[in-house]
This record gives sequence, C-alpha cells and structure tokens, in this order.
Amino acid sequence: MKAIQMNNVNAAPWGPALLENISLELDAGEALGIIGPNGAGKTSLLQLLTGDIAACGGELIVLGRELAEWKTHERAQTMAVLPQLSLLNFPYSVEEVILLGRTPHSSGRKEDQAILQEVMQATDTHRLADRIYTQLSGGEKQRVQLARVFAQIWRSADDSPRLLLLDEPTAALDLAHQQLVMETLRALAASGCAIVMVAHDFNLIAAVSDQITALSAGRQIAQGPPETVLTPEVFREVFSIDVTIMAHPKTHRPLVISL
Amino acid sequence: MRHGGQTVRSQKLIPVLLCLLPIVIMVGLSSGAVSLSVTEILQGLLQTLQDSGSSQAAVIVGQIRLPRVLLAALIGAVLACSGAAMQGLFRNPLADPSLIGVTAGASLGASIMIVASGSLITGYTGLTLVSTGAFIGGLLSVLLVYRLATSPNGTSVATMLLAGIAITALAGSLGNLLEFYASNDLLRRISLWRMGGLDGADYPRLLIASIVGGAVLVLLPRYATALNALLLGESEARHLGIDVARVKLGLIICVAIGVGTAVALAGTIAFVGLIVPHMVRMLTGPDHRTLLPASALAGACLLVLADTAARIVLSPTELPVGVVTALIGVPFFISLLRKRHHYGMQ
Repeated sequence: MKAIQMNNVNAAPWGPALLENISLELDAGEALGIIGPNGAGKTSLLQLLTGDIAACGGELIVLGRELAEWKTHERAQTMAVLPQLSLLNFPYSVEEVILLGRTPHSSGRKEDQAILQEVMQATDTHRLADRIYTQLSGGEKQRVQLARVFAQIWRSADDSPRLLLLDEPTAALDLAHQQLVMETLRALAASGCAIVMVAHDFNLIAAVSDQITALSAGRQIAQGPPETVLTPEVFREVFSIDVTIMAHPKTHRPLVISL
Repeated sequence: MRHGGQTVRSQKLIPVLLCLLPIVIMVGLSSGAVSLSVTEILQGLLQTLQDSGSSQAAVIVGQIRLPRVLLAALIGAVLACSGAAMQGLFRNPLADPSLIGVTAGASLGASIMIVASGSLITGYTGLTLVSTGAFIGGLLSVLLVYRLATSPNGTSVATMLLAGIAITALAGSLGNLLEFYASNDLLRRISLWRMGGLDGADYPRLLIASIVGGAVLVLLPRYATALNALLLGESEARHLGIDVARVKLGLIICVAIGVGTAVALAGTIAFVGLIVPHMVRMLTGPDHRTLLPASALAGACLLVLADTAARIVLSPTELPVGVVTALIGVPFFISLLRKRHHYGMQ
C-alpha cells in the first residue's frame, strides 16, 4: 500500500499560497527527504500531511485514506509527528515524556514498558530516564522527543502501514547520536514504516532517503532518487550556491561538498 | 521534587490525603465557639441521622458544623481540581480557574443582585438571589471569553487568556461603578461577599454543591490523559490522537460550572485553585492521572482547615475564609516561586 499519494496539492491557509502543485508518492518502507532554503515550505508540507493546515485542490491520500476520513485517534495509532520545536515546560521525567507516545494505544503496561526500553536504547536516553525533561540540554531534549515519536509507531499493529514525519530530527544532535538516529530510521523503514524527513544536512538525507524533494518558494523544483536531485544544477536553482557532488567512498551515495 | 537531577515521585500522596481528609473534617467539626470531643461529635452525628437531634452537640454538629465543613470540603476540592485542569489546558503552572473570567463575572453578578435587591429582600431569599446572580454572571462571562477566543480555526488558549483578562477588568470596573453608587450598607455587604465565606452553609446549599461538585469531580479526571498530552502542545496532542477542540470545550464547561457554583455558594476564595495544584505537582509530578484527584483531596483539606481557622481565630466573630486562604497562600506561593528551579520550572 502507498503511504502517501499526493497529486497537484496546493495550500494557502492564510491567503498567499504556501505550497503549489505538489505531487509525490511514497511506498510503505520508503524514506522521503525534503530539502530547501528557509521558508521554502518544508514544514508546511509536513503540516499538510498531518492535517494541521488544509489542502486546497488536488488529491491527498495518507495511509490509504483521504486525510479528512481519518479519525484523530485512529490516525495517531499509525502516524507519528516530531515537531521542530518542543514547548514542553512542565517537569515531566524523561520516562513520562517518552510514554506519552503510547497515548493512542491501549497496549497495556507490560508492552509499553518493553517499547520504552527499546526506544531508549535506540536514542541513547537510558541514562536520562529519571531526569527532569525541562533540565535537559537541547540535544538531550531532541533525543527524548525522538524516543517519544518512535514509541508511538514502534510496533506495527495488524500490518497496517505506518508513517513517521520528522521536522529536523537531528538539528541539535552530535555526530554519534546523528548516526544512531539514522540507523534507527533505516531499521524502521526496513520494518515497513514510511518516513518523511525535513533536514538541512544533505549528506544525512542522502544516506537515508529513497527519494528527495527539493522545494523553493513553495514549488517543487526537483523530485526523485538522491542521485537525480542532489546535483549542482538543483543546488544552484534552489539554494543559489555552487556545490561539488561526489560519490561517498563507502556507500556510493551522493556526497555534497559546499565551498 | 528533585534530588541531584533525579525525579522523586510520591506514590503515597493520594492514600495519605484520603486518611487526612476525615481527620481534618473531625477537627473542623470539633472546633468552634464550643469545643466538642470526638465522642460528642459521633453521638451528635448519630442523633442527626436518626432525626432525634435535641442535645446541644447534635444541634451544633448536625445543623451548623456538618453542612459547613462538608461544603468547605466540596468547594475546596472543586476549586483545586479546576485549577489543576486550567493549568494543564493553558500549559501554564501559574494559571488559575479565575483566568477564564468566571470569578469576576460572578462577583459582578452578585454585586448587581445585592444592589438591585437592596434592602427589599434580606436573609435567606436574598442570599439565594445573590448566589443565582453570581452563577449566571460567572457563566455569562465565560461564554463571552470563549466566544472571543473562538474563530473558524478553533479556540486559541492564548487569546482566551487575554480575553479573560479583558473581561475580568471590565467586570471589575462595572463592579466598582456599582459600589460607587451603593449605600454604605450595601457596600459592606458587597465587600463581605467578595471576601468569601461559608457562613451561609445549610443542607440545600450542600445538596447543590454535592450534585454539581460531584459531577465536576467525576468528569475532570476523565480528561487526565488528554491533559497529559496537551502539556506537549496542541498539535502534538492532536498527533497523539486527542480531539483537542472537544477536550477544550469539555474542560471549560466543567470548570465554568464548577467554579461558578463554588463562587455562587461561598464567594471568591483566593489561591486554593492556584497553590494546591502547585503543591501537589511538586510532590507527584505533572501526571494528571494523579494530579487531578490528589489536588481535589488536598483542596478539600486546605479549605476545611482554613474555614476552621476563620471560625476560631477571632471567635465568636468570624473572619472571611478568603482572607485566611490568601494569608496562608501568599507566603507559601512566594516560597514556591523562590524554589521553582528545584522542581524543574524555568
């Protein structure tokens, strides 16, 4: 089943168009990277998929259903969203924050605890389990929020497709934790979860994504596998910069070198 | 609570409070102008139940103190539980049930009734009229605040906060205008009502408080999971499967009716809705599944104690209970503000 089918979708929630004629398809188990300069509409595209802003015109099918047909509660069981910013300012413990990810499921305490242990392993948040969230560093908070959204879609229930939307998941992470998160994302994709990720680190995007969409001023400039999107021409058009693209010596994926 | 960055959650708070509440109620029943022993209280209660209350203890316990102490417990519980829910909804630990305009609207409603009924109606009928006015005033202002904050895009809690402040200011100035034209006698009645008091407690009022308070105290904890998710933010809660618009509306209705009734029956009682959830959160953490019931129990204990103090400090004269809660509340609150880093607040 397709995780996302989007045909010529526009979005203009506050008057001026934020996104125009966006089309993309994503299979279960595939990862899509979204790149583009500040204000290009990357977060708006994620919000379109979550229903936070409404699509006007075109067709938008998420996880096999028109977006409006999803009940909030049912959708939360198969789709998790990591926002760019977290505003949580109540003194939850790290463990409590991660377990909030299990809110849409009634899987029972035992299952939730097992998932808690696994996602803490996957984000290296074990040592933080009893700490107070508000007293963590930015990178630690981001790992905890990642663990929370992982917990929400960690197990596939009755073969239903899952979708994970991430807005700059690695922005505050050090290299080791970036790699840890990338490995987890690959493993999730391998287990059938579709992933849509916004990021500014092209090499991380290239390492994980099966497809990349390049946005500029709300329009889709390029769309396709990393090799066809990560090219000097696209970078000149989208970011107005000159880059050199090489093949990664080990993975042979595109490697973007800026001057 | 924090020890070296680790959380320590008290699991025992609810059982402790469950044991404490009957003790506090017994203290409330025994204290007053006439002190009663535990045996006298129990005999008095028994006689009241059998409807053969003729002894002095039976009259004091059954007719005066029991309805008052139980009313205090119910109102304290409703105010504290509503405060905890509002702090969760507004994602602000300094929110208070009065933020949505209910208290100011109720005050204005009561003032209008006091001035309008004036010297014509006094005593029991007057008291009932004033309570009705307060209840209607409270609900009307919440309705106004809610309408102001609701647009086709949903209800904005930030706008609601500002609208609440605006309506509170408006109701306050209208109230002042009334006071400006009120006679000295009416002025005193208005200001006494504002300070809050449980001296009007009787069984009909207790019955109303039990029905409304009981409903609110049963309904609010059902929103615990939704409130937990809401602390992350509204979109985040929606992504966790919470129907945010319905939860908001449900919480506002519960709190408006609960606090509206509390203010109508006992005037404005300061700080219970603000400090009790705070104290409880320090001990149990922000999980609303514990926070809401524990706040209700702690609020009940605090208001029974404050009302008992209000009755005995200047006995036989009574202090308004709102004065006592603020006197206990403010120093405690200031000490909380000074120690906020110790429990994870910025």
